[in-house]
Amino acid sequence: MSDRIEIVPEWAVWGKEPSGLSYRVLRCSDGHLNDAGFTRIMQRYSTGTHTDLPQVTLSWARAEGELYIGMAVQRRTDERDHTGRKIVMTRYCALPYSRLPEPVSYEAIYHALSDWRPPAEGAAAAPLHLPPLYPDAIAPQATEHAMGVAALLLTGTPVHIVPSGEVPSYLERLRFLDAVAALLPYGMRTELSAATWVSSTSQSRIRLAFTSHADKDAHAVPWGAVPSFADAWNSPAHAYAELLGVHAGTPERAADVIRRLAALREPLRWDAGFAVRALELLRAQVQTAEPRPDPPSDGEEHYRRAEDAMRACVHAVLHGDGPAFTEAVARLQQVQDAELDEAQRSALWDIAVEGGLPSLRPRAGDDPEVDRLYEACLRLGLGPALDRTHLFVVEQDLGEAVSARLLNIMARMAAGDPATYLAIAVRLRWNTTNLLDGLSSRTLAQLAVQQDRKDVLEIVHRELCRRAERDPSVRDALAESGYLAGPVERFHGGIYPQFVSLRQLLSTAFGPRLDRSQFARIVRGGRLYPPTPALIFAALALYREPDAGETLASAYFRGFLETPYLPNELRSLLEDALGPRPFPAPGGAPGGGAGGDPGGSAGDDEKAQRRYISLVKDRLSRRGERKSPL
Amino acid sequence: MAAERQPPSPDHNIAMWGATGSGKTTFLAALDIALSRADHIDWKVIGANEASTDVLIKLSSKLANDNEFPDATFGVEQYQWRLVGQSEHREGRLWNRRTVRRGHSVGLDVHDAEGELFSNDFIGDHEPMLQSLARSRGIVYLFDPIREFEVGDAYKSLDGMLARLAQRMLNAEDAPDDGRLPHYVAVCTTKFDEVRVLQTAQNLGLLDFDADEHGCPRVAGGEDARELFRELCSVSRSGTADLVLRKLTRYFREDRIGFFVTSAVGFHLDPRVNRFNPRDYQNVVPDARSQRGFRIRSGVRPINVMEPLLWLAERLSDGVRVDLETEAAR
Repeated sequence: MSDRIEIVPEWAVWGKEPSGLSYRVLRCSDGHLNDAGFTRIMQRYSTGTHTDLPQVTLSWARAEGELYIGMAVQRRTDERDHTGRKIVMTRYCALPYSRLPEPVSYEAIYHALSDWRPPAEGAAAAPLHLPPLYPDAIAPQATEHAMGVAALLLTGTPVHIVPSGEVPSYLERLRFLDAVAALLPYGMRTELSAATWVSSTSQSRIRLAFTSHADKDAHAVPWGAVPSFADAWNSPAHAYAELLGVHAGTPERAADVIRRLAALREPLRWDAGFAVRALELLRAQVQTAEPRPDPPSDGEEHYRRAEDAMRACVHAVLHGDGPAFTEAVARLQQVQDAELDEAQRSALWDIAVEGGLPSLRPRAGDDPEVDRLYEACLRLGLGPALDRTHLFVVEQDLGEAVSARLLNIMARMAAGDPATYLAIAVRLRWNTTNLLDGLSSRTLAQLAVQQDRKDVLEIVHRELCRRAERDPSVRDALAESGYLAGPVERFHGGIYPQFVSLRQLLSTAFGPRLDRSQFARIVRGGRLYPPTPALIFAALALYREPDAGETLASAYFRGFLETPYLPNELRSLLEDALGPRPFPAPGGAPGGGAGGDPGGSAGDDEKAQRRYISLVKDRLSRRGERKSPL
Repeated sequence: MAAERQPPSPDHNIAMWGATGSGKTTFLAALDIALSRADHIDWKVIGANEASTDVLIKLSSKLANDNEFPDATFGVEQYQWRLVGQSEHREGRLWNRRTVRRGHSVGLDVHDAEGELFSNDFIGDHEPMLQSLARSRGIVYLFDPIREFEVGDAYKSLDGMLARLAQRMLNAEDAPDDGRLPHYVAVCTTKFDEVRVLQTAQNLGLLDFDADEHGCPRVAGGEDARELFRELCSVSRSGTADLVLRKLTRYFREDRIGFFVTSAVGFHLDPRVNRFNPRDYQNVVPDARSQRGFRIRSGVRPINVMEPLLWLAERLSDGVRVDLETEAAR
C-alpha cells in the first residue's frame, strides 16, 4: 500500500476526434518526447490492423539521453470518425527508466495506466502508482514454455507465439509476456518490444508477439509448447534455456531467479554479443549464493497477492474478459482467508467497490463464479465473519446495488452473529420466526434502533409486544433504546399512528397504568434517545394522576439537561438555576439550598449573594452573560 | 523455424495509394467478389500464405456476407496474393493451328497502408511507406471524389510522398533515363455508385451500360475515365485536385498510367426485375439504426475493381495476357 512507486510518465493519447479525418497525437506531455517523437513510437510499434481490442504493446524509447519503458493500450471507443468507423484510441505512457527506483512488472504498469487519466489542459500529469515487481506473483507463469521463449529471444530473431484453438485473453497474454521478460536481465527491457497481438500481415518490428500466423522471418512457437533449439543447440540461447531449466524448475526457484534477474538493472542493448552477455549475467547470478532478501511478512505478501488478484478482476470485468475473470477469481479465492490488518482490508474493499465487484451482475444462467467473487471480496475486504457494522458498510458503499445474491452470501458469513443474520434475513424476506427466539430483547431493541428500517422495526415491535407480557426484561430493553420512539417517529408517519404504536408497546410492557417513577423515566428519555412527542403522549395516556403535568415538566427538563448536545456551560447554569437558591427570593420567601440560611439578616443575604457569585462567576462567559439574571 | 512453408515470392509488388478513408482496403475486399462475379474471365485471387488467405477471407466475407465495410487499416499491411487464371491462345501453323488454354499465376504483393502515412501532415517516419512504394512496380491510386469535394486532401496525400519517392528512386544509380518513375499506375476514381459521381459522368456523356441482364452503367477505362477524373478534380474543396493529374503525368510515363472508374459495392438493383433502376440505384444509404450511420442495401457488385489489378498484372507480366477487352478497355 505505502510501498508503491510513484512515477510521472511522459504520455500521449493517439486517436481521432469524433468525426475526425486522421489518426494522430491528440494530446501529449511536454517532456523529452514530443508530438513527433510520440508519432514515431506509435508508428514504429504499430501492430497492424486489429479486429479484437484491447491490445497492449510494450516498447522502449530513447530521447535526450533518457531511456524509456513504454506501453500502449489500444481500445475501441464508441465515437466514430468521418467515415463512420469506430475510433480506436491508444493511451501511451513512457516511464523514464532512470527514475524507476525499483523494478516493476508490465502488468502493474498496465493496471496503473488503465486507471490513470491524462491531465486537464495545462495541468500537471498525475503520477502512476506502481507496486514493485513481485517475483512470487510472476513465478507460477515462468513455465518451461516461457523459459524457452525467453531464451529464444536471445537469438535476435523475433519470436511469434501462435495459439491454436481458443486464444488466451489479452491479460493472460500480457502476463505471459511479463513472465518472459522477467526471465531476462531486467536491463534488457530498455530495448524490448512485445505485443499481446500483431496482425500476421503487418510489417511490425516487435520482438515478441502473439499472432495467428508467424512471420516467415520469425521463430514460430505454438502457444504452450516448449520451443526447440535443434537448429541452435550450441548457441548462447540454448545454454540460457538450459540454465533456466536447471535453476528455475519450481515456482520457488523461479521466483528466486526472477528476483536475481530483476536486480540486473543496468541497461542492456540488444546488439551483437548481447546473448552472450545475458548468458553470463544469468550464470553469474545463479552461481552466486546471494542471500535472499528478507521476504515480505505474511500479511504484506497476502495483501499484495490479494490486491493483484482484485485489480486483475476489476480489469477483466472492465474489458469483458471471461477467461481472465475466471482466473482472477480463482486467485482471489486462494487468498481470501489470509490474515490482513484493518488498513489492508479497507484498501482491498475500496478497490472492490470502486471496481464494481460486489455489485457485479451475474451472467445469464447460474453464475457460481460471481458468488465466489462476492465471497472473496467480502472476506478480503471485511473479514471472515460479518457483523452489523459490516452490513452497514456494505449498504453505505453499495447503496441500491446490494443484491439478494450478495445478501445470501453475507447471511452465510454472518451465521455466527444471530442479530446480523436476522438483519440480513429481514432484507431477504425470509421467515424470521425461529431466528427471533435466539435473540435477547435488548439485542432486538438495539437492532430496531440501529438498522433504521421499517421492516426490522415492525418485526421487533411485534416480538417485544409478544414477549412483554411474560418477560420483565423487555422494560429495560425498551428504556435503553428510547422505547423505539426514534424509529417509530421515522416510519409511522403522523403523530397518531406513532402514539398508537408506542402506547401498545408501553401498555404491554408496563400494564394499563404507569406508576409515577415509570412515567417519569419514560418522559425523561435517555441521553441518546430523547422522548418524542408521540412517546410523551403515549406515556400520558397511561399515567392519569393529578401531578402528571408537574412530573412531566420536571422529568422532561431533567432529561433535557442530560442531552449530550447541550453545552456543558449551559447545563451547569441550568442545574444551578433549578437548584435551591442561596438567598431568599424578594418578599422573604425562603430560597433554600446549600449555603442558604432561611430567615437570615440582610447582612447574611449579602454574604450569601457574594458567595453565590463567587461560585458561579467562573462559569459565566465573557459575552455579556454576567448580566444574566441567572 | 517458420510456421509454414513459404511459397515462392510473389512476382509483383503492388502498392495501394490514397488518402485516409479513400477506400483502399474496401477496394481490396471487393476484389475476390468481383472476380467471382465475372462470367467472362476465369481468374481468381488466392492467398500465397495462410495469413494472406485469412485476410482475403475476412475482408471479402465482411463486405459480401455482413454488408459491412472493413475496419480502418493501421500501419502497413502486406497481403501476398496470387491471381490465378487461364488465357486462350492460338498455336500452330496452318492445318495444325488450334486454340490452347494456358494457366497463369501472377503474384501480387499488395501493400495496404493507413492513409495518414501518405499525408504531408504526417510527422512520423515516412521510410516504411517509401520502401513499400520503391519496391512496388504497380500502384493502385485511389481518388475519392466525394472526399475531395468535402475535405480536399488528395493532393496533400500525393505530392509529398511522390517527391520523396522520386528523390529515392531517381537519384539511384539505376534510375530510368527518362527521369520518370518506373511504376505502372492504375488511377481509380472511386464511389462511382454515388449520385454526384454518376450524374457527373452522365452530364459528360461518358456513361455506357453493361450488356448483361443487370444493365448497370459504367465508364469505360482509358480516355473516358480520364475525362471524368479530370472533371471531378475540378470540384475539389481545396482547389488542388487538378494538380494531382499534373503530378502523376509529370512523375510517371503517360503510357503507364491507366484510368478506371470504380465502385467497390456497385449499384442497387431493382429487386423486381433484378436490373439497374435509374431512379433508385444507390447501394449505400443513410441508416440511423446502423452503427456507422449508413448501410449497404443489397448485394455487393463491384465495378471495375478487378480490372485495374488485372491491368497492372498484365503490364507487369511480360507475356501474360489478361483478356479484359470486354471490360476495362472497352
